[in-house]
Amino acid sequence: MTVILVSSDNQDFKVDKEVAERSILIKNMLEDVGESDSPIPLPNVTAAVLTKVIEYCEHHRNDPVQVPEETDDPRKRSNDIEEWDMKFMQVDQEMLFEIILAANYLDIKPLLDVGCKTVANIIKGKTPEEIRKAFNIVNDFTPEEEAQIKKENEWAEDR
Amino acid sequence: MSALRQPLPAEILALIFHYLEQEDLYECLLVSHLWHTEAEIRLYSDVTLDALQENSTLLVQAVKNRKHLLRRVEWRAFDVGVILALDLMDILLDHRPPADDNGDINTDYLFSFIKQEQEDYYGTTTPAATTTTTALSHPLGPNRPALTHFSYSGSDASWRLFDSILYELTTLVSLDLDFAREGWATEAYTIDMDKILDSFPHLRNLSIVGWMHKYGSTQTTRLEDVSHLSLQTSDNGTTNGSGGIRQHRLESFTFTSLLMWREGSDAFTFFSRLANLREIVIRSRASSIEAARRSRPWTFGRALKRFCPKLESIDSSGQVALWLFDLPILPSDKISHITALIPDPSPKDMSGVSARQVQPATKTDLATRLRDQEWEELLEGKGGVEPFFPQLKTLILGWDHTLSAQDLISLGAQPQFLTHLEINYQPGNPSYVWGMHDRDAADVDEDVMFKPFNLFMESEDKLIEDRRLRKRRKIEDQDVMLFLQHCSSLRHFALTKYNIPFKNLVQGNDNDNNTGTTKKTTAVGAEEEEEEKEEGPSIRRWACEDTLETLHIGFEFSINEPEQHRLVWNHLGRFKKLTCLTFARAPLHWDRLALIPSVSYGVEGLLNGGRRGEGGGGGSARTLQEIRHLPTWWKVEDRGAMVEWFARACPRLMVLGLEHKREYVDGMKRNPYTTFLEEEGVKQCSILDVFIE
Repeated sequence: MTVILVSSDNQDFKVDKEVAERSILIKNMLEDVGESDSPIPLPNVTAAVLTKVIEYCEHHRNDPVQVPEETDDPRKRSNDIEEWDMKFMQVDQEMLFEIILAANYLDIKPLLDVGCKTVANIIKGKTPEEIRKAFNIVNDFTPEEEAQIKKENEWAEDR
Repeated sequence: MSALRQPLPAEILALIFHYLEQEDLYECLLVSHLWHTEAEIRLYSDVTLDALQENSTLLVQAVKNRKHLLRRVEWRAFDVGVILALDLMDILLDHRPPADDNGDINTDYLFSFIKQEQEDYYGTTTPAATTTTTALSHPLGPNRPALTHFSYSGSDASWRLFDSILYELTTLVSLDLDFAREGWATEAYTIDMDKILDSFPHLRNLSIVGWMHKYGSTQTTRLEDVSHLSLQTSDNGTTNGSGGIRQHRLESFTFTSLLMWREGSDAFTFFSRLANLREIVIRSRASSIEAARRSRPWTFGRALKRFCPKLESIDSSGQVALWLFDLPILPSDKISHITALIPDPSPKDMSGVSARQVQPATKTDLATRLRDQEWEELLEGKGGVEPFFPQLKTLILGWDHTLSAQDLISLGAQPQFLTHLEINYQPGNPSYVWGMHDRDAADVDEDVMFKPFNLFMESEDKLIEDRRLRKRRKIEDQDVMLFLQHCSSLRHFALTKYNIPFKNLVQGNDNDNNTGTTKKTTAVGAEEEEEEKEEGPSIRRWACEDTLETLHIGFEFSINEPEQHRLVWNHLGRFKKLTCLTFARAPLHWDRLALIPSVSYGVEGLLNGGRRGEGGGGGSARTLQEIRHLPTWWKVEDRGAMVEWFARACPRLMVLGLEHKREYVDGMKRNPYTTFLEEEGVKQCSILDVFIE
């Protein structure tokens, strides 16, 4: 069975139902709509991003569904990304963020996790300026504010 | 690059920051206002206050201004020093001591605490008797954090102050106390179990370990109160007791052997409040003599069986007499089947020839017969053996454990939910717990009770009496094998620190008991079975071949017997769902080796999965995803080829960890056998991760 997904820029994507249902959002929609053939609009996702998301879901179509685990462990590891996923995530920063946002909107937890781990790995070891440069973030601190923050949080600084 | 169309929303930043450590979070604080907000939340939600760390004063100051962010606090104190404790009162309870005009702490207030501390230390009051808290003279403030996790490790000096803080943290979901023996530790602190359960209604995990006086309970639960108790499960799955016992939500409880030593018939009745308990973890540093003298395994087992029907996981290490089954003592008049085992002075042998040359049976022979008979009884489920923990799924036994042979065999024999078993096997460990018997039971003649020292005096009468009293025995090789041959529900099995010699795996063993213990119904002697197959010895099947997913095991064979290796590889190939295979570290002697993965030693048995001639079709090679500590004792030139062989044989193999052998080259310890990792074939093979352990 196939379903049709429509991106925000009106491009149609035909995918197997099994693949589409890696997205919990789509899965729930399909359950609500029933046996209808009508295409599913995804106004928050552009065609370029949707292509990537579908590629991920295709590759992982046979993965066991993740059970939401209530782990007490606050620290999570980010060094356990599969090789295929790592190559998949080697995109420019803008696309990386778009994929994460799409995974969040579509509720595809494994893709969201991989995206977040990837970003975390980029952040590790960088200074604030390097982080801003990597993600195109504007510095909205005054020098006084910066000094204040540094002073208050001195204990956390890596010596 | 153009600027982002939209910044990442706060909730995504929160997810990302979950993967960052302190140093990186600090950098994130300075990136932008949005990043600052989220990073600050993450940075201060999980805090460790350690009096010995350089930055602790700075940290304490920063935390004081952000109390509302705290969710998990770990407090490490060499001593519960008064100053630090006052800081903690401020941080955790929003309780600021009265200040004088200059803003300094009121000195009288301070001295009152120090005085109390001195009184405690010099013994003018006994903390064991009461745990009265120091009344806080001010009501709790509005900035009090909504703590979920609190852990403390330090001594129990200044226990009053500690108590006054601890019991106010009523929002806790998880509590971890570890009392150290250092500094001004008194080891006089008594934990009041009932008070803990009353004060922390949301608690799900509780761990109280270390050096303290004892686990107490303010006798609110008496045995007579709970004797009529019937437990009913309510709609939301938590068990509520009728008869007025309100059930606590606690799911996991970690404690020391001290708790097992509680005295009196009410000793474990506070467990009647813990009907939702799923897991217990026991840590013991006791000596085996102490454990034998003071443990109460029968009372403990009976209480937990009655009060904690959901218990499914036990993790125990150290000398703790913990029995899993109730082996009822046999009445003195019902042991004729046992006394019949004492051989006649002049037995006849098989051919009916009257024996003039046959020796009178030795005590060893009787011991063996008694053991075999007990095996048979346990495996056939005779003798009224009842489990104390009928829902047990997971059993983990750490160093110096005291799981008995009888309990292990019964675990294998009874229909069980047992799926996960880890045994840290210490065969040479002496333990006096084997001398214990159930003092509460009837039919025990006190005159017959032997002191533990007399374990070495093995008269026939004593052997019989021990058997009657159902005294436990330590686990030996055959017990483990028997267990594996019978336990059909296992998914995870680990036997560490022990290497199985070949003779224990096969049939036709000298000590083998062929009657009714195998799946093969032909109850004839070993020779006949060998005649049926031309190859001679074969490995006894394990009952878990259809279910086992993880196996951690060690073998010990001779390098000169490739047939033995081939048989074992064949055996390993029988498992239908095996995903992870870990080998124990190999023995270090030249003539004793681990299982050799090499074609000349039959490693392709992994593929055939069964006897020769059977279709096989894949064996466990088909399902294996991870192999660890694979012995690399084979020839140097073969190594790259072997890795490639594994890659081809096991299509799902992702991780291959290779055990290496350190050698001395030019007087220096070196591992010269790693070059094969750089070969093209190895680097390009389908295994994602090949490495030397």
